[in-house]
Amino acid sequence: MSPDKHPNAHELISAYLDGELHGDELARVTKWIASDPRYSQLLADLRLISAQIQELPQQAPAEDLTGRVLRQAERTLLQPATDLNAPHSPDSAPAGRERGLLRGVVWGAAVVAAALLLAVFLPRDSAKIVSLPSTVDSDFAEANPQQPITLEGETVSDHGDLTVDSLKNAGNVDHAEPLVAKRAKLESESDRQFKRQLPADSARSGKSTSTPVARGQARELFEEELNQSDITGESFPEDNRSPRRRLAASPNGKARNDRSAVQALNKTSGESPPAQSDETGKDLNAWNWVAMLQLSTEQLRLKTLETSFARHAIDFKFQVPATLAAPDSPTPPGVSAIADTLRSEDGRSLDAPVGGSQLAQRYILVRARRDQILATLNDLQDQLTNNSTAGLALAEKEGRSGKIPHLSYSHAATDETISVLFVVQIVTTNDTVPSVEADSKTDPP
Amino acid sequence: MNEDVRLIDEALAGNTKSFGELVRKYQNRLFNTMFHVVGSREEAEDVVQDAFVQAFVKLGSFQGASAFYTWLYRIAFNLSVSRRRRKRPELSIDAVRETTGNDPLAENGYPAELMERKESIEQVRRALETLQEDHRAILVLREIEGYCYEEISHILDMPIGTVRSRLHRARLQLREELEETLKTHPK
Repeated sequence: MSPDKHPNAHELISAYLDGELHGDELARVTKWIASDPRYSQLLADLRLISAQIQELPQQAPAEDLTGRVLRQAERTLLQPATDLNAPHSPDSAPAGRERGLLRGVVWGAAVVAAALLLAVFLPRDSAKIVSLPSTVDSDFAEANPQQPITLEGETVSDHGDLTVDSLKNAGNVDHAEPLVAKRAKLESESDRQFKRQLPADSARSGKSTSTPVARGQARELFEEELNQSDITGESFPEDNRSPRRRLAASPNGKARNDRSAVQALNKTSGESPPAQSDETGKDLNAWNWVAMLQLSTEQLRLKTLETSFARHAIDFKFQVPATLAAPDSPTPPGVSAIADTLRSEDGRSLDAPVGGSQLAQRYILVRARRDQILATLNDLQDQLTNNSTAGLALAEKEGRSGKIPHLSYSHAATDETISVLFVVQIVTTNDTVPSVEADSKTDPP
Repeated sequence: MNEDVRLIDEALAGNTKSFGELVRKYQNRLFNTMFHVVGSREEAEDVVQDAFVQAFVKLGSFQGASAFYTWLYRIAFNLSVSRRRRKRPELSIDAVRETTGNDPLAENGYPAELMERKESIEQVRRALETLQEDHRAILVLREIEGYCYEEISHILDMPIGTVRSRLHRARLQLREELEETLKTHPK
């Protein structure tokens, strides 16, 4: 059965099937099919094959690809900008229309990191700071009510709509998005040092002062919290709270610095109860820190929206609410050095806020001209690391314990601007934060 | 304003969520098409994901001369071709069958009918697999996507005459591959 009476007969009949013939061709082929059973048979076969292909089951990806696509796109867009050594070429700059894409990603990433940000010196009473104003800059909210936010490589839209509006409407931490963090952050160099110190600390600490215990618990809890997504400050459902959680946040937002809570915790974790001396609060600092981490996350998310998006800030300041900062508080080590450096590079006041004897939260996001900043980035990174480590060493020297669970640096750049983000988190287990003298010792001249 | 155009403009203005909407809108359609082009779920998923990523990164170069999906399909098809070049030999039919998993067949049919339909699907898939990739792509664009010759010509960047001749060759090859099925199939 091979219709070869006419040249190109197969092709024409195939095109006839698709409705792609017109005029003379159409008339001719219509006549062939009507008059020659070989052609009509060929058309019938092709029709059947076509139907069989069209009836193949519809296939769909195993899961929604949106999150994966946006994460990979984000990485792809940011990748070239993370190489400090890469020569900057105007040719490599994003085209005008694409800058918006990059801007969206950069700001999205900045918001995420901002949520994790800071230097936290957390003594036991810090958890009293629970309720934070959740105001969002009204100008920005009006201008960008649907501006999406990206968290830790996840698009918030995966979890629902997190926009300025939604945050504004949320009103308090109960409705805010959960903290998303990465377990890998625990494997920072400082954390490895912390782990190595544990045996020596245990031997030094003696029977049950449990500083190492508290630190071990802090670490364990930190890991646990990293894997949790239901942490929203005061919003723990009562029935679901573990003893740790109950310890972390009391109904009024204050840490329960009492022996029963400590004993409940230690009973659960299999550790021996703390000694009387633990009523100084050492054991609870870690838990307070966890509670504070929850609060900070929510607070900073709002603050980030308010400042970075609304003002398109060249410099960035994070204001610790006045209620949190003790007026006589010293500057934690490293903060002033970083602020000074950035101030000198950027030529603007960073208005470095300092938490105090109770809490210091520090967030620095500098968006300045690339040529002003690139030259100092490596130095700043070293300073940050050195100062943080020095602060920790100082705490150790003074018989206090501490750790730096998170210390990171990142930046992203377009051809004109660069966003720099330092994230430092320091936890100490003593009421006393590093003194002013300590600060001057650790900061470079 | 066309919805796709609006979403693209918003994405270019920095709103990644809008691009996410485009992904959600087209991922199934593109996946279904690419699955039939590349013959494997995993490969199709990779190609689709990479295509969306490239589309996002290159969104600024999209001029709107064609539909967004058409542009996206071109990216996906080019990706599949380059992946295939790097990944010879092609998947065996058995491997394809293995990766395709269970077909979402109707569950209310009689077992014999289900078996028959499943067998028929397998035969068509096997027949498709025997085609050269460029022929298969044209066939998929025509039969599954329903594109006209002009659109296929634009997507694959080839003359309409080439589309027409390759399509007919692909069909004739399929006809040979499915000869037995055609004989037994009720006309």
